[in-house]
Amino acid sequence: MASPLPQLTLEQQKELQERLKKMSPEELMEFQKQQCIFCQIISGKIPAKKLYEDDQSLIILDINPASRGHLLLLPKKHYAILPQLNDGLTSHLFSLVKKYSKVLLKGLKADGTTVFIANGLVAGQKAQHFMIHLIPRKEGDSIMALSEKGFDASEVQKVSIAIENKLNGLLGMKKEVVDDHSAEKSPSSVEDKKAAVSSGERSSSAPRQKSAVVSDSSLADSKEDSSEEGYFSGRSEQKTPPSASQKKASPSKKESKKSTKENSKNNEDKKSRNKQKNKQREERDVSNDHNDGSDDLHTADGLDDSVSLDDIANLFR
Amino acid sequence: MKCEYCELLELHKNIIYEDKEVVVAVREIASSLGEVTIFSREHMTILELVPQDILAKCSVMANKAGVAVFEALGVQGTNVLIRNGLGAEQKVPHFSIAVIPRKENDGVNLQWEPQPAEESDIEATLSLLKEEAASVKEEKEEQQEERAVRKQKEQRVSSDNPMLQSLRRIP
Repeated sequence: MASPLPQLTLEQQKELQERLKKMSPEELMEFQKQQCIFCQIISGKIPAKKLYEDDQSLIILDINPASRGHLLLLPKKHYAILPQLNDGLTSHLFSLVKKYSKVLLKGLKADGTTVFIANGLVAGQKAQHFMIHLIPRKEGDSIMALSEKGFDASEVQKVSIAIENKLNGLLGMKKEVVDDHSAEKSPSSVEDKKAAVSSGERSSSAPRQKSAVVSDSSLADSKEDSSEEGYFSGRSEQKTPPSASQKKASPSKKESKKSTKENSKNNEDKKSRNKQKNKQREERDVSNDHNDGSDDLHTADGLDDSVSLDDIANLFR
Repeated sequence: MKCEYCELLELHKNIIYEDKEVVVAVREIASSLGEVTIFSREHMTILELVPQDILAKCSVMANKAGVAVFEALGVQGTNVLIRNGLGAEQKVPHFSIAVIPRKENDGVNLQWEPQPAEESDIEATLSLLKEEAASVKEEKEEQQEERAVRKQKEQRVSSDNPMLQSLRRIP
């Protein structure tokens, strides 16, 4: 696979982040554009073996394939990770996956196909442009062999409760699942919520570690924004504020400039922008309420919550 | 022997979401703790057999489940994986999308060795696949029509027969 950013060591990543911090927003945007080889393929600046193209997506053959016929499905718009894609685009890409999986099975007489997505460097993501790999497989080709093991049932139950609560939140369901182990935790989370509400703050911002991701400037700009989880704004607006670089942290380059000049105007801008997303916001609020409870749940279980989705997405910026 | 996912559904074990078409469960046999599997309620073996609308729902749920995994487990990444067919290590004969939580040095290996390919080979593969894609398209439309007819029939049968209806309700 063509990768503009080869696997960096931790030190190199730090160095890169330092460099990014020092850049002006304009430089940063230019840097991103230059870095994304796939954006250049999409715009036609770099030639590629295009198999399929529509207004939202592109399918090309990988030039360093895992096997003959290895396909890459790309959204034309630049996204770093799957959670930034909206539902329509996600299902569109998967319908293409289905079709071209069949094409590979029939055309290359493959025994199967592997559909692979990596979100984040640790997951093996190599380019900063989101893509779906579609790899034709032959029995015994040992391209990918994932080992599985049995996990302790009680542990699995614990994590599944934590995940279920998050998922319910994301789906806008009020249902909360509480496990025996954590039953004593839930009253305190309710109190937390009440306290946060009565103090007039968004309940989500106070107890969440993730709110640290939001930059000082955007805190000053708009309370509304600051209470949002960074990744939600990233997903809906594709301007994920990275924790690594404060300059980039304000929602967009232009707006960050504005914000230094005139906070109130920026606030208005944001509000008008947010109007369109009112519906989503409602859902988020529900999810945030939820998250408080389940956060308590899993921190109580000793699970680490220090990494936000932003961090994952922005390792590539 | 019963399909593992159909059994999960029957026992209602570790299921964190379900509706008429899609089920989300956390697996006990997994490559990393907290691995989530998204599968169709109806037993369908491979991706190619999953109707478009159900696949769309599965993919959207996979995306949401991925976000939930990110947040709930505080992991640093996720893999979304479909093992489609025996040649691709599909172990359960029931279509599913796996969301695998990832941390540094977690021992999960999903990397492949890139195979050097000649420009001419890639070019040949491209034209082969383009041809194939053109023929698959027509077939797909045919299938969709078939499916629509089948669905209608099924609905008719189920509404005709209250016994069948009640059977259907049993998970």
